[in-house]
Amino acid sequence: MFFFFFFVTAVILFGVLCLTAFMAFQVRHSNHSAKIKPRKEKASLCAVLGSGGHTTEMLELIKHFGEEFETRTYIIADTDTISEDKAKEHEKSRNNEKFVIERIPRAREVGQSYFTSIASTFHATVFAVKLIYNIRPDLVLLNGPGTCIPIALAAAFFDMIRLIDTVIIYEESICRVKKLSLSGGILYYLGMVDCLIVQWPGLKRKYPRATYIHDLETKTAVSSPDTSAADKKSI
Amino acid sequence: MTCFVTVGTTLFEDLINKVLSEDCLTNLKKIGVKKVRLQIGKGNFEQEVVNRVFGGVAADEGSASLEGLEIDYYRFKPSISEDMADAFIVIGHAGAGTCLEVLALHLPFITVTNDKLMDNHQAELAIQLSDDGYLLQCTPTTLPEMILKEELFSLRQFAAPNKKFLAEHIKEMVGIKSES
Repeated sequence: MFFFFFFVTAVILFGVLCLTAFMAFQVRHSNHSAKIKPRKEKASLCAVLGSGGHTTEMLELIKHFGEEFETRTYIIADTDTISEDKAKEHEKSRNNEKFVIERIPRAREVGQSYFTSIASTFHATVFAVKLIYNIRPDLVLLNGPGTCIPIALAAAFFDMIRLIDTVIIYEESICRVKKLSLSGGILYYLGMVDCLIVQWPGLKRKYPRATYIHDLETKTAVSSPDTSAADKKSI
Repeated sequence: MTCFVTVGTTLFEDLINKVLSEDCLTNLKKIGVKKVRLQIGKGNFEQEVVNRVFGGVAADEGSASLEGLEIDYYRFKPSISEDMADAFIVIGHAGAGTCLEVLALHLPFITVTNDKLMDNHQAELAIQLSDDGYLLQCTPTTLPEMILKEELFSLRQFAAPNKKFLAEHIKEMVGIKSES
């Protein structure tokens, strides 16, 4: 009898937990109309730099941000020095001294087995939670490396419990033509990102909730008669 | 009229050997190439090539002249962009970085996929780009025929996605008023 009541209570509590989580999730995603209204002058940015090509692609995007992103934090995997140099070089090129480089333990080294990567991801998540709580970014930019999962989890968590107000953007690498990367897939199916950018039409067809990068071009670029725009649409 | 060959940071001996094979060099001459410059990465030339082209001397860098063709090679350089910009055609491995860099220069471009690598997901991008007609794609074995293809000089020009619009979109989402 005792076990029966225990079981029922457990089920009810679990149900309440799920419901709360679901509502938090809904709140996070219904918040959009508020997010679209211009209301900020300055914002803080937090970008996760991966290794090699990921960093290049990320800086390519960050280049287009100006003074409005006043405080910038670059999060880099523990073992990566090249990305740090690239980030420093970029900030130097725009004469900005106000940036911080944070290091986070790697969630998954290239080639590490899926099982051991669960443990190291947990370790990285603890770090990420502390980090995001301290930075309180308005914008989190991610683009592929394993490190970005704990950061996304932490940012989405704080956003869901409304401690901070964060927009999470994931940009899939141009190398991904047919299938999202592991990190991209996880974030897509968990629905943790506000916007997932893909760069190939095939991906948009397969993952309809993603945003195709050339669609943004046609949306904004009505006034500029770009000759290549028509060409791109036909891809 | 330089043909620039690059393997990036990979080991791709089949490619560097094939480019210096007799039929490849003949075909390169046919399309007007006067000079072949190779960035060979970690790989080494096979003995037959070393003997025939470089007179038996293999090193980390070197040059030779063979039947009216100048040939030189090196392993790595801090930046290969200059060599790439000077080139008349580029033959390269199918790495994403290399592909995008060459396509940004609008050069005739052949990517060579390493058919000995299983599940080469780097090649995914090259295959898509070749399907869309931005570059030619082949394996080391078919490289000589590929050089003579007429399509090589009438490839479509690739325009990389403009990140400016993406940046605007993100600013809008964060709630920052854009300047314009």
